[in-house]
Amino acid sequence: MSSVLIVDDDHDVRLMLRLRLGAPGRTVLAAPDAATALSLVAQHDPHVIVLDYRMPEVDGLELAARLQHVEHHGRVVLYTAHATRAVADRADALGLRMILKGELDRLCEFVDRSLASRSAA
Amino acid sequence: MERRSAPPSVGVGSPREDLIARVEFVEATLDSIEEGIVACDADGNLVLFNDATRRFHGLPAQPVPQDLLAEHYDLYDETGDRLLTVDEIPLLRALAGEEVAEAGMVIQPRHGERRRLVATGRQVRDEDGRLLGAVVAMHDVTRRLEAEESAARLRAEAARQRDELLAGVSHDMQTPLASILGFTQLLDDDLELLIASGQVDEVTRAMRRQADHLQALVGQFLDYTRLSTTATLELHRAEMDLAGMLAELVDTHACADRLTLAVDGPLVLLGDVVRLRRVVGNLLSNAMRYSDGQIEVHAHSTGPDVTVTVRDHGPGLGDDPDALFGRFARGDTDSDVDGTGLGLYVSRAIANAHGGSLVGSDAAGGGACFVLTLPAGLDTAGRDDRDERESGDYSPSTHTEVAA
Repeated sequence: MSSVLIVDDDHDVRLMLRLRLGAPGRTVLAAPDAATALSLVAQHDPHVIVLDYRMPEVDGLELAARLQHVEHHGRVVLYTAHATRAVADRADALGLRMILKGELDRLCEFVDRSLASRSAA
Repeated sequence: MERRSAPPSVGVGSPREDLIARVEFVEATLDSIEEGIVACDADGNLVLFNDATRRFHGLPAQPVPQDLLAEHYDLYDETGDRLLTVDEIPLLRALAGEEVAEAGMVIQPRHGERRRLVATGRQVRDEDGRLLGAVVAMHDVTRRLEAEESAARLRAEAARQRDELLAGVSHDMQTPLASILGFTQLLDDDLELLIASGQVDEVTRAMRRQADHLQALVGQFLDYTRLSTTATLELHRAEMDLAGMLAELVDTHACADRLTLAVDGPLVLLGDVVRLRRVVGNLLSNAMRYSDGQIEVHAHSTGPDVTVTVRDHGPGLGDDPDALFGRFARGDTDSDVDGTGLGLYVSRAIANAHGGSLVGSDAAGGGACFVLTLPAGLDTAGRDDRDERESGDYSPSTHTEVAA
């Protein structure tokens, strides 16, 4: 069973991504904030982690930085409406893939490919 | 050169005294004008410096070789970066026969004020056409240029703000639009699955919420534009039930579980329902955005007013809560934070247009607290001067007004 974790403070975005990224043989988890996300990572070690950038208190980039100090095997992607240079640079520095919110198909592809390469490995 | 204010008394003294009086009068006249006047003889020797010129340079006319003139008198080019070369000095250009018209230059004395000048000059010839020298008038344009440059800076700043605003607006629209598109694709591709799992209602409710959000963003932007161009908002007031509006907003909210609503008494008022829904919606989404925990919404009547309080348990508003109501203000110093920063600015304008107010403060025990106060506006006195025309609207009475 493969698993994907969605971290977004917007309920409706979580719902949409849960439904869009859902597939047979795949578990889609969702967290509204960093604390919930970290606890789900500890419990499930999801294969792909989709992070929103803008979240209250701990944003997606900060959460990505914290994930580097946590035992997990997930590929992390920043799914964001923020195309600013500063965000892109910080994402780069953390080695994060960045996909814009308008590019949902690319996110789906990224998740599919990440999970496929994992099953192939 | 002592200045005399007495006019020349022609014919009173000897011809010599007469001449001295005339020269003194001319010098006094030249000294009393704002323009710097400088003249040289046919060999290029400085023969006249009026008071203004001495002030510009901080120096009197002195015998200085032409190739040292720029250095001695601190004559720089228009940018102020480079000393003038000999053939760029306006007085010498004029002497060489050029009609110097408004040549820009800078005088930067070592111990004086930097001035930006325009110089105009020409040759001086006697009645027989013999070359006597040249004269240049220098006009101080420092203040005018500074004013022009500051106006240009303001225009550039306005353009930058406009660009940022457009970027913010399109960014803000991105998230709800992407969600709506995502849901639409789901309905296209996986409708049967959604029906089977009983999630169609949930999806359509979410789409509705995102579309409402998008509409609120457009409304907010339009209000901002109106405020910028006319400084007024035209309200569409009608008798409305604020308690009902709040209940609907809270019930249909995606994160209804984070919201607690307490309403005391019936809260009927005369208000612009679309805009007030947007104001409260904006307060709720700010509270959601800047805090994680519960959000308390409390509405009650306080005599002639109705008050809505939205309180969260986030980090609070900081030292200057009122600054958040400025145009383009954001509740975060991080420049990466998205959004237009128009929400509270427009919301306060809407509250004010209703004759009410919107203020924010830190709540006792932490978190932010926003208080929206609106006059109920249903008192008899208020009714008398109200336009009672019936409209096609469902409301018992509607009227439009313009408030600053």
